[in-house]
Amino acid sequence: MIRVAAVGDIHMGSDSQGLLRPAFDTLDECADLLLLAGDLTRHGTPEEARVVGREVLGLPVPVVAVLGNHDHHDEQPEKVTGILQEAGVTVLEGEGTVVECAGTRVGVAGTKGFCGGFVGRSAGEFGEPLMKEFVRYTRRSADALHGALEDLGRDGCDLRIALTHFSPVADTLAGEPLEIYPFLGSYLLAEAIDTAGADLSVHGHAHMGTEHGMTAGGVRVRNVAQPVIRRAFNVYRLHAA
Amino acid sequence: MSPFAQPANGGADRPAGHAGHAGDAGDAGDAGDAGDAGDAGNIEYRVAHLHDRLAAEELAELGVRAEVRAGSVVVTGTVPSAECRETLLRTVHEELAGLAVHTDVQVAETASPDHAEDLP
Repeated sequence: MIRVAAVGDIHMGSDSQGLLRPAFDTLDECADLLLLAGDLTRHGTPEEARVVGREVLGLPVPVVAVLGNHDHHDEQPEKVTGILQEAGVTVLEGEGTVVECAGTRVGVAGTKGFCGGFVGRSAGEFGEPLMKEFVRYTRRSADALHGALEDLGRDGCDLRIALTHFSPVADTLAGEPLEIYPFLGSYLLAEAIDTAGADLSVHGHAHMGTEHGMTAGGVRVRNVAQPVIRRAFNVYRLHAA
Repeated sequence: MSPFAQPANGGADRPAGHAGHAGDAGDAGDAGDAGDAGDAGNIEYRVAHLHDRLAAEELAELGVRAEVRAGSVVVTGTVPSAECRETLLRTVHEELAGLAVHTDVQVAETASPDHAEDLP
């Protein structure tokens, strides 16, 4: 059994330093790794990324993250990524990593993901170049997630987790206005998860959504946006087959 | 959170008279004075401009909902810090000066969980 702590949408700024650290310092008592599901900053500035980096520096468990749309706002995602890496965070975008937890190989495949909506109510790759690129961006992200999950399977991982910022399912958006669902996630991410296989899917982004959901293929989905879970993080116990 | 309400220009080009900076900030959670007929007619656009400001200014706030209900505006959501909440409420009352506003804005909780979820 491994214990996965997860939170997203912590939106740290200059006034945030130290807010989460007391809870993070208890991670060795209750978790084997910490997943950060994007939107770690407000504007994606290097200064805000440094606040996040200091908040997680030297934590007693491995930290794996994806960026969110806020972390891209200042158009310096590579710099944000570098600052987090300097603080010891493994930042994933279309790739996977393996964490050894008490003899269990846990694979985490991560991508920010993007939007477009859900089956029957989604954007199509049609028409203006901008519209086509919108959908293709999501498709590339989903394809990378699929590839990363497959690689982790081939690598002999006992458990695989899909970590995204945008949601793969509509279930965990319940509470958000229906009209904005297409901006909150894409079924392409769920299709990637279902076809490659995973034991858990973790995402953020939907502050007014719901924690629990499931893909069409039966993979459990958890929306860990901090406003949803109302904690510094939640912990999920996973059991290797 | 989704940028569905975020403008390309941060609302900087809005027509004169829509800035709404002159109003009484009021107290959080209190209903202000009801607007006159002119305000009521523009209430939806004023809410849209509020969303624009919240996204474009220091908060980069996209996760707060502001909705028109029976002629008043209800603002709900969760923000990352007490300072963000103060800034949010100040902006709301500036932007919606003269309108009845109800707020229910919480600060994100930062406690450790008291249990784990088992996923057999």
